[in-house]
Amino acid sequence: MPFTSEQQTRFEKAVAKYPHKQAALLTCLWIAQEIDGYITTAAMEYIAQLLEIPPSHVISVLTFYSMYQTEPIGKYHIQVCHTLSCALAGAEKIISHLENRLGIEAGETTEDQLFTLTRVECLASCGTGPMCQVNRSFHENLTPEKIDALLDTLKKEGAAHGPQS
Amino acid sequence: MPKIIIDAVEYEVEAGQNLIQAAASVGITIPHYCYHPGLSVSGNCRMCLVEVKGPRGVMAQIACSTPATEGLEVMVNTDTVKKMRQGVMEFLLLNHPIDCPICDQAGECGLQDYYMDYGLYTNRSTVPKVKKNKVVDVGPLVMLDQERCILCSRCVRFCDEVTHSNELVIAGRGEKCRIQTFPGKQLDNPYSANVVDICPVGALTSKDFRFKKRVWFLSTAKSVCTGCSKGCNIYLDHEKGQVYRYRPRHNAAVNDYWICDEGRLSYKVLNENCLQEALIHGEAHPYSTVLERAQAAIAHTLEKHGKVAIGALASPHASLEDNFVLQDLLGQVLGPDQVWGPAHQELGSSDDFLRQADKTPNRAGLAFLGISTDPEATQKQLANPELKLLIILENNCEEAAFDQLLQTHRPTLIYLGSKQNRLAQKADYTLPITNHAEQYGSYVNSEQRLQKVYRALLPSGDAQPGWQALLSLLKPQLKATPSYSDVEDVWGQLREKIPALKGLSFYELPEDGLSLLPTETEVLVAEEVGNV
Repeated sequence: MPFTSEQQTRFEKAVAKYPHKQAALLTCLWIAQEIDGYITTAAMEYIAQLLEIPPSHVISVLTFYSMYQTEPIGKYHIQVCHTLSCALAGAEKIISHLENRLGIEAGETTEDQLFTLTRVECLASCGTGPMCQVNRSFHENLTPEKIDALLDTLKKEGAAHGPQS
Repeated sequence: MPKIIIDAVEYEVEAGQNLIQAAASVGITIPHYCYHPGLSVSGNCRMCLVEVKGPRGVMAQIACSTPATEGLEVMVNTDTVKKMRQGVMEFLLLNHPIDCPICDQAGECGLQDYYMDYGLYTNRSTVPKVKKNKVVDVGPLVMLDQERCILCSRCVRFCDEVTHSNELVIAGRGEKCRIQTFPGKQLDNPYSANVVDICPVGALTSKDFRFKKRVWFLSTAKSVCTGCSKGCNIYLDHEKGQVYRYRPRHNAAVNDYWICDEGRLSYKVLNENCLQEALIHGEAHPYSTVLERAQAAIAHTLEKHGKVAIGALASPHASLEDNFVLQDLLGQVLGPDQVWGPAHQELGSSDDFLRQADKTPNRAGLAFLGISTDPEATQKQLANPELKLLIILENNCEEAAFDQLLQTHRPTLIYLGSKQNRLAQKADYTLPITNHAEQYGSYVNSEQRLQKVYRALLPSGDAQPGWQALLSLLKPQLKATPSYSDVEDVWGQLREKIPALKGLSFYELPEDGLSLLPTETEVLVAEEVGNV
């Protein structure tokens, strides 16, 4: 069993909200990702069993969405918008600055498993571009200096709490 | 029955069909990829777009999900329709690798076929093609090339709707879409290779058939699978005396569009260990020598021990004709009680779809001829020490019954078989006969359906059809020799003796077989007669 009984209760509560079990699939995937940082094969099998659908259908759905991770990613997932407004405001400069500072390319994870850098499409903050999303919080009107400050804070915070479980 | 208008011509079609089926029933082909008559309608390939007249004028609609209803007016061949098909093909081929020279599907590929009619012939794409996995080991019998796939979802629907095993799904989005299985799981079910047949392109290929033969070299014969008593209808693809594959042949009353993997691979026995020469104690001898000595053995036994000392085993592996001739001729020579059914069951895995536990193709045929199929009765006969000579027709028996027989008392064995098996080696006289790919014949399946096979291959070596070999063997003992020169002559006798076949010839037997079960009216009449 990939989840503790407490975690299982979270899934079951979510399922209870929907008229059909199958409808809870996206929510369940989201919970699994919150718990493990990414969606493990065992989690997919657990969800399939819980929702009474074939495991293959779970993977079909989750691969359709770009925000579900199927591989372990860094503790801080930095998603930089590169769609039109942010691109015009200098997103590419921000991305290459991040790549230089982290020593990785977009789409990769740092060796210490702290940062994953991804290019993403519009995050609906067009008025404040260039912008990025780190885990669940927005960082807007980015400049290279702001990035440096952000990375320093995150590194300190990350070192204090240890690697992601 | 609704009347529909296709290209200004009115046709009457059966109710409840979609436009592809209705058009096909009057000989008009509407090109399609994702639509398959054995699966649900998915409507994703868009190849079957046609123009339909509606209240808002002429509109493009996909034929697969358009019901053929009264008064429907469609155009399937206008310039607009052709242009739409061309556009669909352009999209389908946008990321297709066009590796036809190394693709097994070449020659029977939907993309190739329709490209001849609706191809653009000039590539307008300037961006590189999307790369995906080309060799995915998706299951024990099936290889997947994700680049060739056009995402029609036929294989996905097959796994969901026919086998209910749900192995395959479309994963990803947009250009990253691909067919895949759940991590660590394989496409592994008893019917898995059917996805190869229904794949309209070269994305799913058979591991067994890959790189063996270009399909345009193959000849095809209509046949019946002899892997079990279901008698699934097949196409038998062969070249130069070698069988390369079985493919399912549609028969709504038996196997629909499918066959099981076990049956599909059972073609291999046709290429292996074919008995080509006549044998005496396992040693090859000229056919005529063996025949004469076997005839002499029969004459000798008859003279010395009488009719009861000779028996014959009919075969659930041999055709109805072979068994009929065995029963008929030996009945004349020995009397009807000396022809027995098989001495053992041949059981294997089964399910409630196609696979039957009884792995012999014609056990019901023996029952139909009135030959007992109770193994115990036969074993009792074989155990009788008075038995001095036994004629055995086509037998796979490697089992105890014969071993016991050979230990306690040893009758002279005359074997007529198509395989170089243990019995062929052990018998005193062995005559080669043809297998089901080398002769015309018919079989009765477990649902009492009489189905015919066509000859695909020339007999190997000296092999003759079983009925012919039996006729030569028993000729000296027969008062009047029937003049059988082909299977139709055998049927002449068959339909005289079997009322159900009255007025029917072998060649008139329908391609999808004939049910020997009484029809509803016959049952009703019988009941009426009983009541009176």
